Amino acid sequence: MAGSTLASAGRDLARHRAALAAAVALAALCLVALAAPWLSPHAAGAIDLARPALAPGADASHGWGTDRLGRDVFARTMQGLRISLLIGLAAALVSAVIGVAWGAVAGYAGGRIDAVMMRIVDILYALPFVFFVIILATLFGRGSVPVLLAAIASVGWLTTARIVRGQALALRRQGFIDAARAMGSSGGRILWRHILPNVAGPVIAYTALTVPQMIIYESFLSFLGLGVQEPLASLGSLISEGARDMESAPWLLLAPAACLTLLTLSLNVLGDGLRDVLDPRTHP
Amino acid sequence: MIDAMASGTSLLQVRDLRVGYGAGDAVLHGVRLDLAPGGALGICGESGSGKTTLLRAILGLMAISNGEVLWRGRSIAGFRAAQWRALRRIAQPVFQDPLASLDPRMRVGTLLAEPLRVHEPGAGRAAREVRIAVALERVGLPAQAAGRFPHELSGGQCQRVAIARAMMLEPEVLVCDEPVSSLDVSIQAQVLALLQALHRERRVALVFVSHNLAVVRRLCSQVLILRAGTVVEAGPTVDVLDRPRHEYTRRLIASVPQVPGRAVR
Amino acid sequence: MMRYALARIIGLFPTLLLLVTAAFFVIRLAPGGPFDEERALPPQVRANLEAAYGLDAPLATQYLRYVGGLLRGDLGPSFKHKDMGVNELIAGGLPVSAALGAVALALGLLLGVPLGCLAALHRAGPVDLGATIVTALALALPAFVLGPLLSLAFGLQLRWLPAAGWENGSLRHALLPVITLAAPVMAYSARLVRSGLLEVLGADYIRAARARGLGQRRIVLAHALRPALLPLVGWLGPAAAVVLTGSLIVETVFGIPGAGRFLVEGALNRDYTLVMGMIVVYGVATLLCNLAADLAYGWLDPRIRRP
Repeated sequence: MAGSTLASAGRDLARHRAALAAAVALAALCLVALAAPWLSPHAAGAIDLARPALAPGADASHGWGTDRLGRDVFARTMQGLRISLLIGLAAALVSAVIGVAWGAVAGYAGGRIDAVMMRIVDILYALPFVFFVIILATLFGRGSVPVLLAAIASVGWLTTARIVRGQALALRRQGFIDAARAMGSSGGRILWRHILPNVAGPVIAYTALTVPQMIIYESFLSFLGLGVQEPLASLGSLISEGARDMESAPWLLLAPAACLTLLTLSLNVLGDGLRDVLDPRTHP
Repeated sequence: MIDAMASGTSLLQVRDLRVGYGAGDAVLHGVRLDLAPGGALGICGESGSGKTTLLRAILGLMAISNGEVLWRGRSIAGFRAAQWRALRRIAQPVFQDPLASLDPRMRVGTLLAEPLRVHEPGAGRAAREVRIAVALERVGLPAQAAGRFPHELSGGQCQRVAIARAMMLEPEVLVCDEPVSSLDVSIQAQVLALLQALHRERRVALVFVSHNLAVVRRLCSQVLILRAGTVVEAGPTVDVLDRPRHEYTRRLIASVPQVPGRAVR
Repeated sequence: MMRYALARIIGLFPTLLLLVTAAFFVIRLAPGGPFDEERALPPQVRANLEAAYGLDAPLATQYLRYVGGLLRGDLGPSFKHKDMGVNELIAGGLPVSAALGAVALALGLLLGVPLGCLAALHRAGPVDLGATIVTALALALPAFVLGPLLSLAFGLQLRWLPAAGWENGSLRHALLPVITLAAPVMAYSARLVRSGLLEVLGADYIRAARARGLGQRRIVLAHALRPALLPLVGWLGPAAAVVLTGSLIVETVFGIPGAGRFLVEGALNRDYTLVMGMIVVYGVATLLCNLAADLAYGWLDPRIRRP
């Protein structure tokens, strides 16, 4: 018995160490991305047709090489990183707010209201994500960052709503909700004081795990050419460009792919650590 | 606020109450009961006989299919927000599972402040803290308990907190659903003694659901025997339990050990 | 059980109709049309084209015609692929996508479920750590990264496998796309099984089984695995639909003639019928997979009886 307790404590520690390492990696990545304009002598979009497709190391000032138009790969990748991060964070936040509100109301109200609200979620689930974004993009103009954000967030909230609704349904049957009702608390007060605090842990943990997902969605759209447009770049559009030239200039693929992997990996590990700490279900 | 309700001789009356989930068989049919101010009514029956449903219906926590629940002569069917609020100051519940009835994210102090915040939003923080300290003392808990979370307390302590919370608004009746059946036997007696003291010294009426007739005999002057949603027998506890007229009641009496409670009385 | 399943299947039709209706009007109300070319068509040609495809009728009439066709199983003609019906297009691409997806799904589950079990049983051990690292990496490498990287490494650098191409689904050509599609399935299923099993293994009845002296292997197989699979099943419903209807990314990267590209291609070209056809396919797949997941839920956990 004592052995297994020790083992699980050890595992927690290891887990937290991993989360800590992820946080450090993430912070370093963000710092470099933000400081990139001062770290590199080249602007992100500066074209230099005299030095196209340089391999990394071929020119000291272009540490990560250049693309076919002679643009500095490091500067462009860091710009992509900034945009991907910004869109990912904002979209995760927006979808968390919508999802929590929707799910909490549906779960607490129950009955017919719940059935209608969740049927809407089911239908949105059944609509292909790409379809959504394409419609939004054509309606409001392709490549606009706010549209992209709205499109991604409009899909991201569905799962949060389901999680929160399930939790709220379960909470509704708990004695303390009955006690609050018998005490005369209003529906709004019960949602705010009892339901939301009790779903906050899982929601925060899930939102942390949504950020990398949103970044991947955005990159996916940019990969398809539906996302961020030239001269701006996101990691996805850079990977798409790189994949086209990977036979002759593999570094154009490797640089943004490595950044995206490191970014999503550290966000995922950090999110897992947060969930261990915040979600009471994982440690009884 | 209490004046929003007409006063009468009965505190609570239930007439021909019918409660059903959906279209199928009703859980309760034709239940009637009376509770005088300061009275103590026990409700007994096997599990599944509709005791908990009856309590929830009395408190307005679930929909009634037919019949009436009257508080001080007024039917809850016609209640508006102000009357519901007034009812919350008259009747407060104590549930079976004390831990589940306390929000796990709130400290005991916050839990006890909650009724005051809802009903007396004007009261200051200092006034609330005084009343919380008084409430804790009344149920035999130390003042430091206010800083604890429910899961840091024992089951008996949690039930004391739940009782303290129910008493915060000085209600006229505590509606108790098997308040001790999830507790250790040694703790049961203490919590029962607390309820008994509140009833005798502060004239708080009790509606007390239990499958344990010995407990009901000790606490309640009136008793009602419920079977499959119907009242089979009702009357003064001594009459019903000592001279049961119904076979079902006899079986209930036979199935329960008589020991605890008797000596105290 | 049969009656329940039948009732649920009938219940899918209103949802599907709602989906088709919403999609139809949204896509038609969006600006642009299938005949907006780079250079404008002469008005007369354009009018003829629109008349030929029935686009000159009021929108409500077009909608009724479309739904009528749908009831007969006719998805209409494609606007861009001349002389091709949407039925033919999808019939050509979907089997390829579905076969690829099914193999990837099977591979992902065959790897992921045992991995999750092993990680849960040897919690905090080296197997668990290894599983955590593998799944974290797989989740951090989306298809549009993993696909090109695999193609670059095994196709262009090592030259073990073709970098792209299909050749009617030969094993050598299918291997890299299958791995790309299977990686997230493996990662998710391993994680869900691991956490599900850990939760179940802490439950009272498992402790009771252990107290009766049952061995760990027997406990897992006889008692713990079934309820532990619940979260996996819930995730698998929608996920399977996505994998089976074709991945645009994988099909683009590896040059596979599947159905995944139709949706984006159709939407960009305003090929109304093609987009609608893919939405119908995707919607049906999602609803059926969710239904299958619900039924499996009922079988795995008898306590769940939905109204």
